Amino acid sequence: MIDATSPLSTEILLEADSVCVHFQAASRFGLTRPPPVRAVDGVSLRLVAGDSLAVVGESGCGKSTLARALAALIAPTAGQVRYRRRDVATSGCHERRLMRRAVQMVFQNPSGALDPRLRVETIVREGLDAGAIGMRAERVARVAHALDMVGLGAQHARAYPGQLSGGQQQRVGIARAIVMAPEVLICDEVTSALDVSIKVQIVELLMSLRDSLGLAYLFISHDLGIVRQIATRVAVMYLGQIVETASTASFYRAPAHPYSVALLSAVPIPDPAIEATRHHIELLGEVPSPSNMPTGCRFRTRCAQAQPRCAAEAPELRDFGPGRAVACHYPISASAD
Amino acid sequence: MTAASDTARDEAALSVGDLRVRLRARAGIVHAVNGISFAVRAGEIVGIVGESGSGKSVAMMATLGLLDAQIVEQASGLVTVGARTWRDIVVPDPWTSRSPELAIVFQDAIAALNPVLTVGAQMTDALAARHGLATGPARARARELLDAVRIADAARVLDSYPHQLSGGMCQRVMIAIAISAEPKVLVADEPTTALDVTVQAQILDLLRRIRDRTGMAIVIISHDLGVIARMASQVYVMYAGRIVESAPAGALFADPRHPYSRALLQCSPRIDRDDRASGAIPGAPPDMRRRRPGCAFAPRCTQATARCGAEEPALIPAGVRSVACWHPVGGGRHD
Amino acid sequence: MTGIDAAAPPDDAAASGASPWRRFGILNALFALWLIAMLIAALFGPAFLAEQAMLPRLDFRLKPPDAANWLGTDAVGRDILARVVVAARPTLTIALGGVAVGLVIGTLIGTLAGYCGGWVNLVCMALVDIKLGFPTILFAIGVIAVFGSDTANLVIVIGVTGFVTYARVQRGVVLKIKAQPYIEAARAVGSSHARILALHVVPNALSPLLIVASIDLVRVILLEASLSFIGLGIQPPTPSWGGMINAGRDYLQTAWWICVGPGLVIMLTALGISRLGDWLRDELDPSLVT
Repeated sequence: MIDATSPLSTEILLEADSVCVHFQAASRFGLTRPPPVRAVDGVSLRLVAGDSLAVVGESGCGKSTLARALAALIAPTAGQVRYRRRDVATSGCHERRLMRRAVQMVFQNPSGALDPRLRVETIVREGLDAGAIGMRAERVARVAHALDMVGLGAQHARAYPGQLSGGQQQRVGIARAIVMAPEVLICDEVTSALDVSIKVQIVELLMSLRDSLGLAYLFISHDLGIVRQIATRVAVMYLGQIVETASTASFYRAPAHPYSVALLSAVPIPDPAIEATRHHIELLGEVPSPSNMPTGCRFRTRCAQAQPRCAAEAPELRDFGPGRAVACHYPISASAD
Repeated sequence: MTAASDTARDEAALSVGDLRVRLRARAGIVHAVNGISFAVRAGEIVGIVGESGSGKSVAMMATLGLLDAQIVEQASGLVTVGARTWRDIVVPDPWTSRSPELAIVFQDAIAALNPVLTVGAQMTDALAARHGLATGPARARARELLDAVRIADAARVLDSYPHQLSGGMCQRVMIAIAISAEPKVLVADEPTTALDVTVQAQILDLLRRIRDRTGMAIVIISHDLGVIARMASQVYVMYAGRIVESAPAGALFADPRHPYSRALLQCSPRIDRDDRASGAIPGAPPDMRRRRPGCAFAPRCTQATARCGAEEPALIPAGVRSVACWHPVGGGRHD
Repeated sequence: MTGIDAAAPPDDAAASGASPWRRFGILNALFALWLIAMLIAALFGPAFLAEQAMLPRLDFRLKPPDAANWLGTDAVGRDILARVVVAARPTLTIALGGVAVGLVIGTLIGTLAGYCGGWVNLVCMALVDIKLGFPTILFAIGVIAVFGSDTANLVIVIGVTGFVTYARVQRGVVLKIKAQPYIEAARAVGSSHARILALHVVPNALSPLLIVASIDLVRVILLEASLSFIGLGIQPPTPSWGGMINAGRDYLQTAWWICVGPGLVIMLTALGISRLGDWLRDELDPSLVT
């Protein structure tokens, strides 16, 4: 599980280099132009083969927008998304198509992400049909194989999405992605709409697919419990920026950014004995608007440790111990390590 | 009725007896709640945990008399709040019958507020209608209530429209409205499911403070065992419209006896442990349109025997807890 | 992986409940019979009843319904039942043709406007606004005066005047569908815009369009009537349902049956089409299965 984090294991598959995605809101009566919403504001990250990187954060932090930029579903306002070191925006038509196939995405809302009027087999085959990959018989065989891999059978292939349970629908979503034989699977909150018992089934499926297909995963999630189980590395986002990256083990043992600490302390643990003695850090106030950021460190308005320097100077993402980087002037050192 | 619930009912703020609800759905009759009983003491926080379709929300809606009469096929049970008892589960005008004693907070707070009225207008309306307050005193009382739910700039929030507020802020407003009538029991139906985890922590903390200050009982419904562990002192586990296990939180989490409770706890992902949550629960929750004989969990249960498929186990009290299972797991010791 | 919910077969409880024909119902069957009768009338009516429908018989003027003339006779003594049957062909040709033209133009414009957005949307909606600001009758008079009032021109005129509703409805529906996650999912596996439009957008937008079309059919039949009234519609002596109602307006006080016969026929036909359209929409929508 640990070897995948090692940077020398293999080449970089997918890379974000200072990616920004800004949305321009519509002007009021054509007069005033409101400031853009800076959903993603200078994010850099790398995904190597066999990696499982989880991007965590609360709603509005820009993690889903980042996922869409990495899947080439939206173009970054600034910065580059690179697939195998080639800039996706400037590469040729053929290369883009290859990249589209290699980077697949699974979506949050399993029922909404499936066209209700199409049979499961048609939905799963769509990518092959669109790319005219192989002969028809070959496509049908690949669809059957993909459905088999996610634990669905021929009787599900003929069904409509409305006839399936939520867990089965999410399996169809995964089959649609892996039928393209991708290298990278971007999973956007794939378990958040599911019941606890079904959630674990999907996690187990994704883990078995990683082992059998050698997939690299990018998980977008707010569920820190699930992330601990599936990710080898964690990146925490706050207001469009990454504030901490670390290996999963060290992140959960000793988070260094004050926001990471608060985030972890807020997650309830299903054990009343532990809950009774835990210290919960209550964050001050509310998340600032992404169109009107605070000066300096974006977290300072809610940070209990904030100093005058935090308002004046934005902290860079700097190395802080092995395999860890933190964007904070006063990171919290692991006390007992 | 069992002896345990008899003693509980003496001092109960709310007690529900043998609640049964069948609902009409497009594809048939749904057996949503199949005979549940529970009690809440004043100042107590009770947790009801279950997955979607377990009937936990329908049960609470029925308790509050909030079921839509149009879709109720059949509903029966006994709801006692303080000295008052209701036998009719479906009531024509819910707000006049049980609201002073019982109040509810829903999952989707933004949808529960009217988008075209300011928060202040909605709160003062409710206060004026319910307590006969004039506009001035009603607004003053609204500010007081917003202070009580720890909203710092109450004046600004009163003049805001719901869409201008965050989800957490809307949920605070809903809680303020719910506690305005000083109910004996506050039912919180997945109050934090739509919220971020740091906001969830704030709201849970707020509910606890309100309990400490007013002594009102709280029934918190959640699918998240973590939330239940943080809040509740008594826990009811629901599956397929029945309570399959009830126990004090400490006992339940330390040593769940029903195979479903145990499996649910085992597969809940935790941030404080590295080990992969062991063993997903096989299969899917049952189709509530068809009632099968025997234990509803039997098809997914690793311990199931022939008896489980044939006879439905009753909820049998044993010490402080009750379990509805022919082959309860764990626990060598008796508590 | 131990047992998983995937092994369970798809939920077929609802599907096995009733066959499509059981859900069809007796009322729909009656309407279907009616529409078949209208179709037969349109196909064979003119061949058999042309004479009764066209030739004036002044000795039979304004007879109320009786055993010989079931729906009575009109101001020049023609049998109204015969005229209604013969009128089915020109009326339905123009009505269905007009609806089809409006549907195609409106769907095209609405889909483009909704899916593309931006300047395409502005251009399409400008077309709609221009049409809305231009009096229908004036437009009809202009086109027919220049090109003549044959059936094809009538169909085009009626269709063009009707596209606005389809375009507006379709634009709204497409905007909603475009925001569905399955559209983004289709893009993520590399589907082209044309493919997404054909496979996802248009099929999912069909049912609102069908409803609009069944309402529009009545409008088109009545529009043809008003065009007939000012002499631009189907030319006498060829009868049309709308034209017959128009002709009977002056006699409403004295000979009500002149209007009532064709009025009933229009009503039943429109109702039948809209009811069967509803049924068809429900049957075609797999998302309503459970």
